[in-house]
Amino acid sequence: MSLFDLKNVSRDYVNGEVVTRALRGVTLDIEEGEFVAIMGPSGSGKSTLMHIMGFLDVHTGGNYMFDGRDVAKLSETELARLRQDKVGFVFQAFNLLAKSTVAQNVMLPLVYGSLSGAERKERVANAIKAVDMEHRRNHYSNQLSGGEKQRVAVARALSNNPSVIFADEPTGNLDTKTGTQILELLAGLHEQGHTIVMVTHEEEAAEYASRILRLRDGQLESDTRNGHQRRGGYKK
Amino acid sequence: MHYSDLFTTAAESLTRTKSRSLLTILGIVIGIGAVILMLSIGQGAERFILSEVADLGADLVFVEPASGDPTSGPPNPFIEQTVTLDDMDAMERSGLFSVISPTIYSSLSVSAAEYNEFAQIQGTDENYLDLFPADMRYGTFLDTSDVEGYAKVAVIGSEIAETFFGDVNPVGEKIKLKSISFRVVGVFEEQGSRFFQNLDKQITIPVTTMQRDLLGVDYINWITARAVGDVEEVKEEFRWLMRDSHDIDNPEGDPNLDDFFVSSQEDATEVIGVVGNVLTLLLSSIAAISLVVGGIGIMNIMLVSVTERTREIGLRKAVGATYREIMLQFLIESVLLTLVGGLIGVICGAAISYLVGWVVVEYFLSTWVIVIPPNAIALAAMVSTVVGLVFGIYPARNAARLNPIDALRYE
Repeated sequence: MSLFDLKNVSRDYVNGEVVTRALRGVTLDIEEGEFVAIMGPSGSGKSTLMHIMGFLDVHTGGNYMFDGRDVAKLSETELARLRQDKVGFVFQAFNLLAKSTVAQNVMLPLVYGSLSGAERKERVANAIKAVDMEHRRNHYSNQLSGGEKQRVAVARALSNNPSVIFADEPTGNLDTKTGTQILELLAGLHEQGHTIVMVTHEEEAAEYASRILRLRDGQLESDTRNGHQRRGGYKK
Repeated sequence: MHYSDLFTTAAESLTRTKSRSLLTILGIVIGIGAVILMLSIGQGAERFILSEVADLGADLVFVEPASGDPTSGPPNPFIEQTVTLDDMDAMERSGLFSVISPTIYSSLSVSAAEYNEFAQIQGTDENYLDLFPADMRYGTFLDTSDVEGYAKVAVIGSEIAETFFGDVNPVGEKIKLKSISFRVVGVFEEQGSRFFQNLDKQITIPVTTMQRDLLGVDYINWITARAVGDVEEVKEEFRWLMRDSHDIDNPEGDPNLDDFFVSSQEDATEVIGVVGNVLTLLLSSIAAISLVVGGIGIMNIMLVSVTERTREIGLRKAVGATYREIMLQFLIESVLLTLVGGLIGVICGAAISYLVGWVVVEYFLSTWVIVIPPNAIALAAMVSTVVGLVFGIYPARNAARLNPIDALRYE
């Protein structure tokens, strides 16, 4: 059983009389442990696809099974629980809470879980360690550089021990050097066994993935294995 | 999610915008503070008045003049002139009363040595002390011969004595009322106030002297008497006697047509109760309005806060917050705001109540008791919670209903 199993999934946005067809029937499987890059020009539906896969948005047609569960049949609360337990998000704009510390930001997903205080602290410590930000743990997030912010965001995505990490243009707001560091970090997490789904429009970024999906006009244009995947293993 | 997390999250959000949070709760602080202050003063006043009434006994009956004209409003004993000493004789003959004493009041200039000031002059008779007991510091009170003989003698209050004569015993000294010389025969011990009159600044002289020599009138302001038997029956029986002696054609017994007014301490207590209730109602509605206004302020700021934090809400939803959790978080934020506002309001209200009470005790009524009603504090806590819930629910729903994607994309 695949982790993600999408059959003919579509998404229409209705705004009055106008219907925008963001996805027009996408069929794909993603296995646990893959590092998938979703590429395509703006408006191709790549973000929509990722949002649907990450339970932030709901499809309007087709069938989406996650880990054997039919997502269309889940309630809003069950979707929230899935977001909490199964997935972690890294956004292009970081989306950290500005007046909170690094540790508080990384803790955020755990606040909505049921872990005890001690377990949370351990998870937070491990996640911060995984992105090598221990020296900044009590800094406020608005005191950090862009690259540091994105590392904190990755730590936040890791803290709830998710099955999948979704990264939406994670290098979009970063310069090449820090962008590379983030990609190396993701590649390292992939090597440790994490499933990663990354939306990007940069070919260099996609090189880190083991599989590249290309979308155009809401449809899957190509699905290729990346034979010459850049080996990560994040090093300072 | 643990409930403690909801509180910490809400508290953290509020402390991030401290000055705004403080300004937001100002309306609640003022509203609750006003409630506490009003209840404190109201209850203090009620206690004070009721204790005065209780001190004098419930069987006291007052006979005051009235206009006899139902359209002229409530009787004023200082305007009407229809009650005289003859009515007092009629009271004595009726056998309905055990002690009877007249009172006529005026504010006149008083001088002794080089001092000169206005003071309340009270004309009464020797029975006054039986109705309103008081201790003498020096000398004696008026006696029957003083009243019958139009004696120019005065019993003075303790403050008057100190003002005009210092610490020496003034008995035998002269004091001039309206340039007529009176001999001081007695000085009261300190008495404080009764019915908002400072008794220590009062001078008591025979009613006869006051009528003939000082004012040149034959009426009195009121008669005080102690009823024998059932107060209500005595009042009614005496009203018919008065109608008879004043030749009033009033077969229905309508008190509005009488040129006199008979009341008792009990009536006063009832009036005070009614006035108290009306005041409480009035003040409560003012307080309620200020709390509603304060609540709307909170709702406003919470709506702004939800809009400002759209991305934060989106993020929280993206990392797993449910509708209910977002809703609770914002609801708790507004309830925390109103509760803290209520708490500060209680503290401010109590502090100001103490201050006002202190000023009253120190400068006006020494027997006033400062009351901080404990049930008002419980009420304040309850009311502020309810205000937070009622005015927080709309913004909280707005926050909880945000779609995570739209919220994250919000610029």
